[in-house]
Amino acid sequence: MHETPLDQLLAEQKSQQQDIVDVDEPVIKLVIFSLAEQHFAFPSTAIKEVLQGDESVFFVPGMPASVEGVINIRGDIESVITLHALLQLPTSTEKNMGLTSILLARANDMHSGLRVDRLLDVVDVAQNLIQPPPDAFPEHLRLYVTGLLEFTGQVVAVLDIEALLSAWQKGQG
Amino acid sequence: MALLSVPLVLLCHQGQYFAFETVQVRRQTQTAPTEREQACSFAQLLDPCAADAGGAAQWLELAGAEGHIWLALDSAADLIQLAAADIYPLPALLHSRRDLLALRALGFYQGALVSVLDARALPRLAREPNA
Repeated sequence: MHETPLDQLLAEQKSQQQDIVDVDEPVIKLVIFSLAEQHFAFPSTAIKEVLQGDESVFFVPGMPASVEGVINIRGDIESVITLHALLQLPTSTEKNMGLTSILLARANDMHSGLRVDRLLDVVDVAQNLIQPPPDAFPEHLRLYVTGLLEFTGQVVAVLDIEALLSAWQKGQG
Repeated sequence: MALLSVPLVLLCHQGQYFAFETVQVRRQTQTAPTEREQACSFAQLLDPCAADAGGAAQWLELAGAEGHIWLALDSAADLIQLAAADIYPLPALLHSRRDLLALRALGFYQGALVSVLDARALPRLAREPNA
């Protein structure tokens, strides 16, 4: 019996399906944001909440320049800090443009609001797409970056929230 | 019995509000203290390098850990009662990075942030006025 066009089509589709290997790759949800025109991300497990960024921030005297102040969130106060100095990035001007957000970050017993220039996306990413930083990666970032991935044509550095907050608490940035 | 409020001596410095617990304030007076070595201006308390503007409007006598301290103020301090619900411990990260070692807690009074200071941490900050 001759193979009909439909037989041929179905056979091709079956073949293509067999070519698709279900690797069941583990994924990680990332909160991607920008700081000083560079792209960074935190695992979503490190971010408790994302605030719009227009909350009233109360200045606290006697703090380093990287402390923006505190915010009142539903009856609790939370510090708001910037990571620009710690990551050796230039100070951004996006706050004046109303684009910033505040990420409520946590790591072990540390927590703080982090001012970011712009929240870009929250995405699920296959873990195998995250590559370790190359040897030539800047030393000052290597301490805090656990991996790199490409997102919409941009390199995104995945940050270690515990390393960041620990370093900040110890007086860096 | 839960504490419902805390009496504080509130002062304003350059648009920022600060407070001490009333139990740490011995008195407020317009008379300059004779013991100048135990005195500093509030500006110098915040920044030891700050120049002493002189001409204090008021003086607070505080009970420090190592004796009394005189603090020169630009304007008179007020006695307030701050609700316990409006007083918060300094967030841990900020506590570890504070330059002002006396900063102990934060409060909200009439919509403004109040930095609650601990007079017992002041002696290390006290400086002799330049004047």
